[in-house]
Amino acid sequence: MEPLTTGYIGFAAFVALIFLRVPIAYAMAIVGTLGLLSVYDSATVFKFVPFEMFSQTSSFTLASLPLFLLMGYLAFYADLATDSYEAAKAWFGRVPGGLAVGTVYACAIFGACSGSSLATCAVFSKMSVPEMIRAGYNRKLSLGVVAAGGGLDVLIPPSIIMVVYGVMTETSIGKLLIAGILPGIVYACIFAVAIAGACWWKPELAPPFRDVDTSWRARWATVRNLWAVAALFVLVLGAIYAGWATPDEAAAVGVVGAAVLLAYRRRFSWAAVKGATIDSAKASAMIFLLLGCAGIFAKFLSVTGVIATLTKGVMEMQLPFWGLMGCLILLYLVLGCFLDAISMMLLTMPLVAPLITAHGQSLVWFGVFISMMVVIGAVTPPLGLNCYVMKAAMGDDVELNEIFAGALPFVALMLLIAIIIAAFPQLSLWLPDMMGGR
Amino acid sequence: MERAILAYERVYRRVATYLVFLPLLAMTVIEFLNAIGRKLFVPFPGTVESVESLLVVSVYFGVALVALEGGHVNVTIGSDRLPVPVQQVLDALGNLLAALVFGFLAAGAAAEAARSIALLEFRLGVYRFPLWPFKTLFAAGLVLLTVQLVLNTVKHLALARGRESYAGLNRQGRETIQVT
Repeated sequence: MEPLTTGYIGFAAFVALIFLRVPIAYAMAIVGTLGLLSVYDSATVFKFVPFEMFSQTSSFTLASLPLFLLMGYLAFYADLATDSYEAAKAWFGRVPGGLAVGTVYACAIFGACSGSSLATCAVFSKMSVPEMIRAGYNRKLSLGVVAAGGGLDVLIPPSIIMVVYGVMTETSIGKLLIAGILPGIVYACIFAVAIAGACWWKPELAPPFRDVDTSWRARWATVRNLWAVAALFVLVLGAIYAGWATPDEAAAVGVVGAAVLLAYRRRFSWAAVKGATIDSAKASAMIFLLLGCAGIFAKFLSVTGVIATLTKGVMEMQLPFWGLMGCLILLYLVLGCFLDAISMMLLTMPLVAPLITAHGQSLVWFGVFISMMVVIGAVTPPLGLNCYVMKAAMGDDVELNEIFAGALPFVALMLLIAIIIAAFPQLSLWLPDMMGGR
Repeated sequence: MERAILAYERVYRRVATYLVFLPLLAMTVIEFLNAIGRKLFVPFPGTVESVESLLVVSVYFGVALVALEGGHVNVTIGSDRLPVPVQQVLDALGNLLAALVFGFLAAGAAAEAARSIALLEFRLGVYRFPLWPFKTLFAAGLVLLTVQLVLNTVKHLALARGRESYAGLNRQGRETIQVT
């Protein structure tokens, strides 16, 4: 059989396995290994594939991934999420849909010390959704705002997705992290305006909420509590941009900073540190197995010529740049229904990154755009991980379908933000260019 | 059989918890000391080598733990509508297939580890950093994952045959044991 035919059959088998409930990492390892066995002799695969997995995961740059996760968990134990939410409530509590708007900004603020949108969704589904529902807010709005607002973490540094993208495309992680800041702020502002506008237009969505002190004294008091979030953010990004630390060292500095905050707030305990470390180690194990198995699968697609053929095919179509971007938006919307963010990135980057480079575009800007696109997949059914995490956190109080239905209107907004990021590269590039991030 | 599975998983859970926890903590300390040391005194010796190696230990002892807790991401929408025994059979088949492939990879990793031990393989660089312990631990992690996948297969088959719960797993795929 022609290697290319084997490649296409392998890809079809991979899709079939996913729909037969096989975990995505296992499906990639199964198809990748069996596919390579059909191309090479078994002795080569026996020797080469485990070595490939070992070298794929033992990467110094990837060390920042578990450390940023750990920093987020410790920040949660130090009550930084609560501080963010209280501040956002005090500042936005009186605008139409104030609690929902506050939740968006709280997600953005907490995103500055957590690198995972899943962690943010888990935290705020327990913290702000019950309060919004008690205040008479529309259930779907309350659920959707957390599912989609959690995506802010992907743009606001530190971002796990951007670290993975940076490693895959050999792009400066420091520049990528800083490039996400302005688009992240735009994301939060567009969400806030849209929610406030919708609640002003249809007041039944969110009745006025009076149970919050929005006096200036109360507002400044909550801002004072945000010093810890700000300190952690400045510590991590400051260390990178002052040239004192590489991104992974900055992550370690952030972990120590979060532990110090924990101690300062008298919440430091062996159990808290152990719990946070084990949680982040388990999350990392899941991500790294995906990375290792995606490496095998990508190798299979590469040696069978699937990637080269597809890349050549797209290049021969001679699509103008905007045609290519339109195709990519459609591609990621479809993939987002079936794959999680990291798998999507791992599977497509070997094909897509060369196309972007061939068009002479910046991989830093593209990293921000692609992060936005993959996070849309986190809220679209059937595999919207943010929604699954919310369901797991809230248990029987909510139906999964309700969360998906709530998140759906926000998908249009997220798409708009992705288009804005694509149309205005300077939004992403201005800050890293100005700061000369490394 | 059920008791043996439970006993194995109890011991594994306890040991693995420390095997994922301690390397991550050590990585944090080394990276932090290196960042501070490079600025103020001297860099921490062998940072890159030790962090890369500790990462492998933390990750590959964690993958079986995640498999034990059913934490690897899968798509269930669509197959959720199938009868529960069919879902359990599909889960069993998926785990079995994965066990075969990861068993093959574990054997390859073990062969590479044996070669590395025989040579007492070191990584050349500024510091001579031993590679063989970490290649061995990587192989051990894959072996543990394979074992866990086999156990998961047995559990799902038992559930498919009508058991309400088996070895700490119920038919909804949730753990029935409270982990402390």
